[in-house]
Amino acid sequence: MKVLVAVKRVIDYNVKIRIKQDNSGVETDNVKMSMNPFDEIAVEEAIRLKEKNIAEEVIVISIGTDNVQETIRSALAMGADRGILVKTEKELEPLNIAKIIKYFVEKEKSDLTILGKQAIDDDFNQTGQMLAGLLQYPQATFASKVIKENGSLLVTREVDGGLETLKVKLPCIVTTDLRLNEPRYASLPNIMKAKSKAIDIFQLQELNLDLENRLELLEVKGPPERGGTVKMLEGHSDLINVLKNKEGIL
Amino acid sequence: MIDYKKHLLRKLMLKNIKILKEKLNKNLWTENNEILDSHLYDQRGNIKGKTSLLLLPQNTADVVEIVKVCDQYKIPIVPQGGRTGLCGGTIPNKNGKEILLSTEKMNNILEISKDNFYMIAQSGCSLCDIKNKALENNRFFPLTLPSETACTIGGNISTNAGGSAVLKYGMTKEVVEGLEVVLPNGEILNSIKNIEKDNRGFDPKYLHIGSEGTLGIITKVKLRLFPEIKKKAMAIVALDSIEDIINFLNITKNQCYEYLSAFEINSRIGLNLIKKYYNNIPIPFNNKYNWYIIFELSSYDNLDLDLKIKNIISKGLNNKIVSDAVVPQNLNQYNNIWKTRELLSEAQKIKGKSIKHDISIPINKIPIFLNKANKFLSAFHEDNILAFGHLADGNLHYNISKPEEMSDTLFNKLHKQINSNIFDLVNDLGGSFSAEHGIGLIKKKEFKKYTSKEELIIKNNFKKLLDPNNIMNPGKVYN
Ligand SMILES: Cc1cc2nc3c(=O)[nH]c(=O)nc-3n(C[C@H](O)[C@H](O)[C@H](O)COP(=O)(O)OP(=O)(O)OC[C@H]3O[C@@H](n4cnc5c(N)ncnc54)[C@H](O)[C@@H]3O)c2cc1C
Repeated sequence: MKVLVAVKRVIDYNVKIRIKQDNSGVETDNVKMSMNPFDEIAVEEAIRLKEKNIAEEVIVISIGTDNVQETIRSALAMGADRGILVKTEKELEPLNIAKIIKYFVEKEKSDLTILGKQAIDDDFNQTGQMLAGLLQYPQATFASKVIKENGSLLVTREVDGGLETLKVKLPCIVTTDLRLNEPRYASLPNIMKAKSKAIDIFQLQELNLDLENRLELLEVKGPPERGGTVKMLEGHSDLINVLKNKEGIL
Repeated sequence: MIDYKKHLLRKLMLKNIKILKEKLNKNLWTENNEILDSHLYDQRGNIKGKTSLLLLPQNTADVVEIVKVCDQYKIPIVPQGGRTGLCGGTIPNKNGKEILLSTEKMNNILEISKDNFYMIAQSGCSLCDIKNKALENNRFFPLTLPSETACTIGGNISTNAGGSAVLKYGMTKEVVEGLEVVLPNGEILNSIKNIEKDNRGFDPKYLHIGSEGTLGIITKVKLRLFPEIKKKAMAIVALDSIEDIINFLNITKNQCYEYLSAFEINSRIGLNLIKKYYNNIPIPFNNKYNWYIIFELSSYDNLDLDLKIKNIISKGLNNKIVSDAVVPQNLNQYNNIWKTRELLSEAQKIKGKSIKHDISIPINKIPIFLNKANKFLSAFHEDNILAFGHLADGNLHYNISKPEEMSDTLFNKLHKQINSNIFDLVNDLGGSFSAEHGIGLIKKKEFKKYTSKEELIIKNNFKKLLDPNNIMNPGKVYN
């Protein structure tokens, strides 16, 4: 089985986001970037399938500028076999990303394509679903457990009030939820080895896809400032006084 | 006869405390039992004292007023900051005659000068507030302690605290530029100046740094700030032996001395503790090695420190000193790796009783120390012996947990013997039985035993000179 994993480079989950002065987006200069956490889980799951001899090859794809190579290398250091970089300076919306990934699912003939359920920067939660739609493949979203059984996958999903298990025929699309696995640390010897693994680079124009954006980003605003001040009360009598006379509760 | 004398003294003490209360503004003290009680424990919950009054000054003038009355009526004062000290320095005597003075209401940051890289603050500011204020101004205050949300800058200075930034910035004394201290007679000694250089003889602020509340109350502090750290990189490295670790430290220093900001040691036993008590923290390498080093580089500009880290480790790997290494790929991993070190004390606390040692040893003698110490602890299974800490400072925490099957009584009985064996060994190797935590109440015997006569005489004389009535934290450090 061939597994394709899509990864996105995003602002690190632990970084405090700063919004650009003109509200056109968020600051990314000198900001720590990392692999989208859900994608890291996707990479880990693919590598585990390989370690169990279920997958023969794990290919990692990412779309963006040259910097994105660093994110692909991270996945290679974890244990993926090779990478694909689709180079573009353009901001692409989920449907367009799905079209690009579709191109490579078909090119690579991957049996299983794993994506994060969403990217933590735009929180769209659309790419996996659109990809399945475009390919007319079955999909299992928000996976918290994946088992291969003959020509199908048994995928457990966390739903309101319990767990649901789906059987999906391969080839298919899976998107990962937080509890699917705990991604491994990349060891330095593996990081070194990853340097010699191949990354195939494509220019976006080469693919000849119709990638017109249908969405337009108007503005990005921060949450409202938290207001109010805290006053420490001096004791029971003070508390009763406030409840009675200020809040009118008693 | 003796009882009668005691009775009279007690009456006198109550009378004096009453006088003190009458002289002071009411908002400067409290007798509320609940509040008093919360100020009587030590961090580890082993010791408890007694008192009838807690003083809560808000500024230097309040402290002067309090201390003058206390000196006149010989009322002993126990200064308290955040009460995170680990040697019982803030615990009053059990006879209840000592009163508490907490700096908790003296918590204003007074001035920050971005251009001149300093900050002036009241001594009761929490270390965390100081660090955050500096960061808000793109400045960095380096002192880093696990207790930083609770401890105060006054307490840090009074104990000359260490922590994980010592390697790059030194102990607290290196980042203090000036102090305002209310002396035991109520006079103010002020060494906060606007100038960098002043060689009019020796600098009296050094008397108070590390004096654990015995020579006066620190009321204001002037601190040295640094540029904000722009870049950090770290790795956790697995090694086979303590000798390899010392070699690896050498490689690291040779290649990156000016950036090296942490070099902390942990062991298989330590990682096992974390694995057992914090199952949400992923453990690197499946914990299959004997020793681990977490080391960190930091710089004031956007250098490629990751590359430097990789080069250092590659050298270690090539020389067969390093067995394996993990470089975090995101901040989550970064934080989790640090947690495997930072949570060790807590994990050991959950495991149960332990005998703790905070010792420093010349770095090249650490292998001898571990070898010998483990030998006379042969009655303990190795899982109960945890060595971790600031290796590059030669500072080890060498803690022995009570084995589950051992009775409390036997463990307590062994405590003294183990302590004296370890401290004798440390002393023989030219080390110190107290690397970071001070003397306080619980290390007085060792202080006397392992300090040279000449040093003891000088220290005792300074105490007598500054505090002739022995009202500042009596019974701590000195006898
Ligand atoms: C989890 C944990 C981890 C720790 N790790 C470290 C570590 O890595 N390195 C380290 O060095 N320490 C460590 N400590 C010890 C402790 O946090 C530090 O010693 C700290 O500097 C004490 O500050 P404090 O405000 O709590 O002082 P307190 O405990 O309140 O007081 C300490 C001593 O100073 C005196 N004092 C306090 N304020 C004043 C003042 N304004 N004027 C005069 N005397 C005063 C007190 O009388 C007492 O003798 C740790 C403690 C904990 C709980």
